[in-house]
Amino acid sequence: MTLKRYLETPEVGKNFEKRKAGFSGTDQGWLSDIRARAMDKFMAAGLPGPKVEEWKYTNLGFLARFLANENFKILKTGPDAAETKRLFDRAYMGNIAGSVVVFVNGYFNPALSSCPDEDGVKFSIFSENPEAFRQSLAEPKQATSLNNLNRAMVTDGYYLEISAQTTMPQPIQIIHLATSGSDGQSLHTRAKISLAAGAKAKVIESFMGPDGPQYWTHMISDVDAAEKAEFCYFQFQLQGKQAIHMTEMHSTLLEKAKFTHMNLQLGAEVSRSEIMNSLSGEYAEIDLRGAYFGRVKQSQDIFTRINHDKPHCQSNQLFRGVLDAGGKSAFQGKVIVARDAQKTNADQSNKNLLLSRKAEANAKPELLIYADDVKCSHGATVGELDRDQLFYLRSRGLDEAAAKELLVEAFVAEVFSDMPGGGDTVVLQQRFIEKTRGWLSKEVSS
Amino acid sequence: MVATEQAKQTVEEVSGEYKYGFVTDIDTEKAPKGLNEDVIRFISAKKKEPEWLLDWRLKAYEKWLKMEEPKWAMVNYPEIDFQDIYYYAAPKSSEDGPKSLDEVDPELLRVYEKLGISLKEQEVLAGVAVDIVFDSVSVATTFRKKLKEAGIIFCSISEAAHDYPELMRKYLGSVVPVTDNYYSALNSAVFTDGTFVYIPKGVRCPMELSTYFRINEANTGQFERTIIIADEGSYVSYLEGCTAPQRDENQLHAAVVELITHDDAEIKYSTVQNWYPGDKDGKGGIYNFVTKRGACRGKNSKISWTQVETGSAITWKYPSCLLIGDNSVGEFYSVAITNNHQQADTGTKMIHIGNNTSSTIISKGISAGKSEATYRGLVKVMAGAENARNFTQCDSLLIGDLCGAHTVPYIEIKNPTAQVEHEATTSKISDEQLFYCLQRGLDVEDSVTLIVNGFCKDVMKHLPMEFAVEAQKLLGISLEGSVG
Amino acid sequence: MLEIKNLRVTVGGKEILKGLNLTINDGEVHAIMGPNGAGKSTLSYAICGKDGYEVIEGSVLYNGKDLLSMDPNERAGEGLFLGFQYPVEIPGVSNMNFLRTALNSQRRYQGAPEVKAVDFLKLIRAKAKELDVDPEMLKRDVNVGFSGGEKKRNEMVQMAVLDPSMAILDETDSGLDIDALRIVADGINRLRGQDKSILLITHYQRLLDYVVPDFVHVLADGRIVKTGTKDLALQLEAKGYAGLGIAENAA
Repeated sequence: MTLKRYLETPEVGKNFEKRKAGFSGTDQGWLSDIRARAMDKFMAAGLPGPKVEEWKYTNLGFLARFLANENFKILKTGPDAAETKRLFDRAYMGNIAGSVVVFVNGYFNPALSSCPDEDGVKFSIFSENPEAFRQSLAEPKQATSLNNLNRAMVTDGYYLEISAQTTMPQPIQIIHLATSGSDGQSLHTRAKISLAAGAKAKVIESFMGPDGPQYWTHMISDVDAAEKAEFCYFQFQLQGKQAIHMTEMHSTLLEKAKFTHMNLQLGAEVSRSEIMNSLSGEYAEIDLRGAYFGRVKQSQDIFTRINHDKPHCQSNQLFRGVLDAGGKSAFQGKVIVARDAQKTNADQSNKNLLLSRKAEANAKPELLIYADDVKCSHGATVGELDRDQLFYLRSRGLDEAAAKELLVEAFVAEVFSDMPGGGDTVVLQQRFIEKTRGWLSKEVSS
Repeated sequence: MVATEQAKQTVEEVSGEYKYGFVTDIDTEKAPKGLNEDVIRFISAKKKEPEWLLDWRLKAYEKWLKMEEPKWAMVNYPEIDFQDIYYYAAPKSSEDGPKSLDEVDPELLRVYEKLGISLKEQEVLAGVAVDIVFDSVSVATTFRKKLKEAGIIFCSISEAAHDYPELMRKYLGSVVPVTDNYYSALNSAVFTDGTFVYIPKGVRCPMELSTYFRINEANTGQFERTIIIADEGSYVSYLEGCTAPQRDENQLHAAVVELITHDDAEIKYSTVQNWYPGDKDGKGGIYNFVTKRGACRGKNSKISWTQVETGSAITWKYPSCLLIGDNSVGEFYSVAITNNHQQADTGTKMIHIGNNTSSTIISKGISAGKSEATYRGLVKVMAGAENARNFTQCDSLLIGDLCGAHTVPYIEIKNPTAQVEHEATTSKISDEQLFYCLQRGLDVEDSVTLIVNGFCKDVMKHLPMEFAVEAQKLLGISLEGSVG
Repeated sequence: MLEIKNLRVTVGGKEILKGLNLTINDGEVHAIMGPNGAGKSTLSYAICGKDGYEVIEGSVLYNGKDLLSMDPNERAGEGLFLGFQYPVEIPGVSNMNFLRTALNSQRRYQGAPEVKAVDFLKLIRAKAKELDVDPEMLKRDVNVGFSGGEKKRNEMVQMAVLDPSMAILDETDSGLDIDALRIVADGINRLRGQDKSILLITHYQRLLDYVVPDFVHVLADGRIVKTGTKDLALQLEAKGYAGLGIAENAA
């Protein structure tokens, strides 16, 4: 890549120097080294510009400006307790039993948390035990510029390890809150989730913040699922209207492992959810699903990649987008079937609904196939609500807003229907529907 | 072309025309290797071009110098040394060609035979010095008369620069701007020949027009420039290329094609591309970097691209439609076959600008051997384009486990009244299908040809009759040795 | 005409036919019955040369020629026709085109001149009429969107046009309503009338009411365990395999 495709952000380096002393784990030499090297790499490249194919639909010019902010603070202490509690109550799903881990403004909050301590489960917090993250912070083979920035600036995170044949009895809720005091700040968190052979776990991760402040949530998670492990992951993105939300999840699945990823993107001004997966063992299965909603300056970006590296694996992707006035979305999904990944089954579906004149949907569903005995397909559509259906409902007495709401709900329902998730399925399903309705009822454009 | 008597006649006749036209006043000179202003001035002088056209070329050259070679396509090839290419070479004199079919590569003759091409035509195609096709002056006159009566202009681009300067100035570069891409800029600077077609208002062109007519003229393929204008209410079907493998010494081809339809006009543009693909080990072969674009400027106008791409070592082309006029229609039907070490990155762009515009994309990619075929397409609906419709179907077929088939669609929609659908599948010829055919007595090659032709039927049925039969045989020939 | 000796066939490493002997003379109709998994379909695929059906021992001679050394299309050229249990769909290829290509391929193999388009059209129309098949069906893509009955009728049309010297019909009668069954039986009887040999593979004796076989064999566990006449089929129908001392699912 030539330099000019990237945006230079010299101020980031200065901020890094300013912030350095307040980082977690400053006493760990290896960590300081990693941070310094990662920062050098980031500075050498800069932020990806619109000429970089992966960022074609999201101009990071705003992020460069955001990062130039000179008021970087260390937010570890001092979030407003009352506000934090209010936000927590909105984000926490009290009807689901199990442990809860809370991060506020990018740092672990022990007061609101009750960390998992079941047998066969190892859990640690980055700011308390950076050593557990040593491996996952090592430079990845192809570190993107944003990945480098995260590794340099990492604030906090969690480590979860499930031993072989252990089933977590309850899901873990991870809650990331940002308070009003987070305006202008970047919160670089990390997660490392590791399931040994036959282990089963479920993680529900919610992101929430108030409207008003512009903060940047930037989270990178690594998931390893060994043979026959099963991992269910749910993301509820309920950020404040001005937030910048970026999550990057990398999963690696070994033989017969299963990974289900459910993703709901409702908030933030700019949101990007990257889900990068490698099927590295035979008969591994992956199911990615999500719904994203955008209006008024909102940009929703879903970026997936599935590497079918081994034979007999299966992948399904199902994403639905709803865009109202001023909303913009991009779905970029890539399936790569390696030469010896015969008998691959890969399906990808992306449908988008435009509710308004000033909405925009982009899709780039890619198939790169190097094996011949495979079944791969993808479909993508963009359109508006069916006028006949709308008329039908109105003729039965529904007003326009109600009719639209009903049809939009039906449009995204496919994502939540027959949702995997064991015992809490219904609760989670309801949460998806309830949040979707909340978004719709606010102002369904006419 | 073998298929109809008419096509045969037209071959003879236009070839004849060139013999008595400007071909004779080109001597055997060559411009020196490499590209600079002097070479461009040389080309322009050779073509006796008006001043404005030389200026236009020089400006294009200036811009090209500042541009970068595109790298985003999924094709790999060694760096091209643009200074190691002859940009102008007069056609070889017939003495350089083979004296008879005995001197022609037997492999080539075998393919001709499979395609069912007559001996006489084989001689023409293989570049044998023959004069059979030139002696039919009376047919030439009839043909020319017919077009002239209809008011149709069908001539070389060089002739058009002399004889129809207003039309040329108006339309040259009006659909594919000089700086559209690296290769269009290069073409604009150095294009040496091509075709100019103008169909006047209300005229339905009485015959299929074909570049094949000019096949005996060497080197025109390298930097071709084609402009076709269909004025209000007119129609033309244009055939480009030839199913027979074409001899060509130039490795780099960078053609530009511009189509313009005014109100209620339609252009149907069909291509069969079978340039030399290189040998089984991937040595040699043509680099085919083409920019083709049509502008549906008028309301109710239509542009339809149909292509069968079987040749070239590397194909890089995206015949596109700008749907500007209300109710305009764009179509793209494509079969791309790659075998051995061929690479094809091809597709289309449908840009919906006017209201009630619609587009259809049907792409069938077949990869065999160690080849790579990529569909890359853009469907874009602008904010002001009401009720746009697009349907895209991309199917890939893999033959063997060392090839690749890729689908890279871009869908960009800014108007809620749009309805855009994209579907893609990837599959292989199933063992069951193959055995069924074998059991009925077909051999493996015929079975594969039959199944592949079935796979491509939705595209092949859009080919004009002149092409269709041979194109079907061509699919089989292109896949020779891929199964077994 | 067809002479199978000690045929042993493996599929995916598992032995399915375990030394099968069968001789079918010119003009004879043989029926093979047997429980599921006995190896009935394996026998038809092995005779016709499908990939994955590996002959590890034995011989199959057809008019004295060694079938096993031939490619599947060569066996077809020798006059062998297999009516498939599940005829395959070939999208985009019309029945007409498919059949003409098949017929001319076989004629080329036999050293006969190819059939002209006009003559072919006459031939196929005549055959369709004989078998009461809608000529529209011939224009449709091979088996695409056909009902089960239509697929089997289509096999009969193909058989009539290709005019084999021997037909192996693998469960051609399964899943047919009574009208379709009559058409299929009619197709078989027409072939029989021309002194051609027929091997019927069937699960039920129903078809045998319409096509009366000269011999009935029972195939179980990869071998022919019983041979008789039509009465054997009736006995099977009445008593079941177990009633004749043959284990179900023997394989």
